[in-house]
Order: sequence, then structure tokens, then C-alpha cells
Amino acid sequence: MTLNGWLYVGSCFYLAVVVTLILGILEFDEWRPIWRSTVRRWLKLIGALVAIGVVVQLLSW
Amino acid sequence: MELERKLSVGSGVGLVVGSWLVPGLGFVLRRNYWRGAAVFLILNGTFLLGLLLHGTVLVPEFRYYSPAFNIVNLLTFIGQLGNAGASLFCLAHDRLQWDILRADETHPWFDLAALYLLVSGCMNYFCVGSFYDRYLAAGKTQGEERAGGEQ
Repeated sequence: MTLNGWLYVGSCFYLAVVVTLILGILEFDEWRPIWRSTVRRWLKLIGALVAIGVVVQLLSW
Repeated sequence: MELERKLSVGSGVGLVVGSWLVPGLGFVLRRNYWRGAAVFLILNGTFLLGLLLHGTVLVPEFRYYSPAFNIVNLLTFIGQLGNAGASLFCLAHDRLQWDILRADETHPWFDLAALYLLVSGCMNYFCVGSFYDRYLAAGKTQGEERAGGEQ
């Protein structure tokens, strides 16, 4: 994969962390539940994005 | 009593506008320091990364009959304005032709950079809404925080 490809993949992971971490910070008052909810939401979000990517890849063959 | 109510409404509007201009400012002014600092660092850090990727906030074409009109660009602009202070700085930079940012619309990373600015702005809309809901929503007295979700 080219540098641009890695940059886009890394950005996807990073921006997903930003979105889920901000939601956790707004929702909870302690860091432990914030990190727990962040990890849970991040895994769900990335899982959904990977699933969409697989479907698009399969349909494009 | 009426004056006190007006002042309280006025300061509430000021806090909301302040939170819109500077992410986390409202939380800091209400002595919720860690939340305000975290929101400020995360959202402005993301905005700064977008600027380092050669991005900037561009004013879209507003005239719907123009061939250059693009609804995606328009919605992106509205989303990026969520981080108002940083976005206004970019707009002033463009208008006044300062030489601080390395924005380049033809750079291959420009669209990715626009996404960083968009996420920063849109998440600040969430933060402003949460701040309003926590401190200023109807039925809450000054200084009273939302009970739900606090643990």
C-alpha cells in the first residue's frame, strides 16, 4: 500500500477514536467508564466500516 | 428579579457562543476543568492535524444556480464552522492573505484534511449541545448539573 493509503487507514482509526472519545467524555464523569465506552464504540464503528468495505469490495469484483 | 433573569439568560447565551468559538471554554468557565481541557485538546488537536495536512476552511459557492454550486461543499463548510474560532481564523487567513498556513487546494491530502476539520467542527456541535443540556436547559437553575448520566 502507498503512503496515501496508509494515511487514509490511519486517519480512519484516529478519527473514530476522536468521535468515540468525545462522546464518552460528554457522557461520563470518570475516566474508567469513558475509556470502556470509547473502546466499545470504537470496535463497533470500525467493525461496521470494515463490513461496509467488504461488501463494497465483493460487489466491485 | 427580571433583571437577574435577563442577566442569567445573557450569560447563558454568552457561554454557549464561547463554547462554539473555543471548544471546551464553557465547561472551563463552569469550573468543569478536566472536561473543558480534554475537549479543547482533542478537537483543536484534530483541527491542527487537518491544517498540517495542507487543509483549510474554504467558503463554498452559495448561489444554487451557479455551475460551481455543490451541496457537499456547503454541508462540509457548515460542519467545519462548528469549531468557529479556528474556522474564522482560516477564513481571515484566506481573506487577508496571511502567510502562516500551508493550505493547498490541489494537494492530494486536501480532501482528507477537510475531513479532519469537519470531524473537529461537528464534534464541537455535540459539545455545545451537551453543555447547553447540562447547564442551561429549561428547568435547571444556575449551577445545577444534569443528574442523568453522572456516575
